[in-house]
Amino acid sequence: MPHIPPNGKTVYYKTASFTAESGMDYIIFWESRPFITGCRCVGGEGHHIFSHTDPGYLPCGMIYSVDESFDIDFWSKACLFAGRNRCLGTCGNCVQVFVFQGQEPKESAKEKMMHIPDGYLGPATYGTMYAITVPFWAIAARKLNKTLKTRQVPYLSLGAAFSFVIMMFNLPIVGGTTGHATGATLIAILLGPWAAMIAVSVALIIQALLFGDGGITALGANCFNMGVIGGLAGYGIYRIIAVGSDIRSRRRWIAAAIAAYVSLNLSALAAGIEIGIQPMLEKTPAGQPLYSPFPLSIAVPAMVVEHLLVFGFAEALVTALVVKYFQKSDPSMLQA
Amino acid sequence: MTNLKKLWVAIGILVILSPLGIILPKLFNAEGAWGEWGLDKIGKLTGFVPEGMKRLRESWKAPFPDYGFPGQREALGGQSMGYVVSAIVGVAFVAGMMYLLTKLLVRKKNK
Repeated sequence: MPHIPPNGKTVYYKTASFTAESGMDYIIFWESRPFITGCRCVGGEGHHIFSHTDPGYLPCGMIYSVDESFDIDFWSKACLFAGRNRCLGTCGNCVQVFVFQGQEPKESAKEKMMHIPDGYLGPATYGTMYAITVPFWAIAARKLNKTLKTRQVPYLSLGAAFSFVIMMFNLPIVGGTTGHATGATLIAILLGPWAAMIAVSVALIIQALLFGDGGITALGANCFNMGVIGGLAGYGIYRIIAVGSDIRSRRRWIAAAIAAYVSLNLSALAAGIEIGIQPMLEKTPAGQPLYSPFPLSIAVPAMVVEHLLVFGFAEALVTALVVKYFQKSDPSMLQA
Repeated sequence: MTNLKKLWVAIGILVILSPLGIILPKLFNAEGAWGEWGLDKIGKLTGFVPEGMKRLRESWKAPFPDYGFPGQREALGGQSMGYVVSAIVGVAFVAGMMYLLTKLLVRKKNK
């Protein structure tokens, strides 16, 4: 039987039971997927906690206060490889337990930002966003063939890969949330806005499908916010500021920085609006929000302020640095 | 080395540095991104879990949720390794998918 961890700690149990001590509070997460990548709540159905002294159902993720110590065994009906009444441990499933006493536990988080997950947008919104984005993909596909020069083609895969990896660099705001750059403006400057749309969308699609980063229903919205807005706004603003300037001039990379900053904030604004209109659009007859419970007055400032203050500058910095690199090493690439 | 090769090397360096993306937030005690919380956190934040959110939340079961890799150890070192492996796998898929799309979409006759 595993040892009870010290107060405030997170423990992962690969075995099937532990003793809940009286006077302590727990939040218990478990999962029964074949892949073990860290414990997540998978939802209430089919997941039971069964204890010797207190049989019953402990809801995943809710705070559970213990008055009298008891033993908890975990088993799951949903696990493919376990029959009924077999412990989760034999499936290789894991249980994550937060132990705390009278204080809120700190969750460890590997979350990224701006990738709207499934469940935050209702069908009216996510359907609309798909309906808007798919034509953009189609237009981009056609424009790509017409506008892309042959020697630019290999840079497409590079751009998409860059967008993907740059989104893995989560930047913290002290004590706050995290965010990241998208690379959309940079790709738009080098390869055009249509290439940016497609490249960023490809990165987002892989992130959603393989890594659950960003929802599948929300994929249209995410691709629109980061790919379409990012690509078009980034490209447009860059061209307006840089027009007439020499390719190697300072104005070019400053234009790139400003374009990157503004376009990322526009992407954040769009995401904030999409999340923020849900309580108005989608609610139960009783008035309770069905999807995102955050209204515009919360969602928009939350998204925009942190991008205005921090993440926009990160995007601007990365974009300017790479543009400067190309100004020196291959200026002809900047004639997109 | 051609420019293209140099840039792919740069991508490789970014991949190796990617664990900064989980280490930095931990250092600053930053939580998850705004608006990317799970059901449990929503419950704690607002006092209830919206019905529609519960329904849609598990729309898709990604094979490598949260960029973790099966078999990785739970400590930060293990998570970092998993992150790097995910970055490699992700870059490979993204570059591959983009390459296929390019072959489909871009047909150059001259130039």
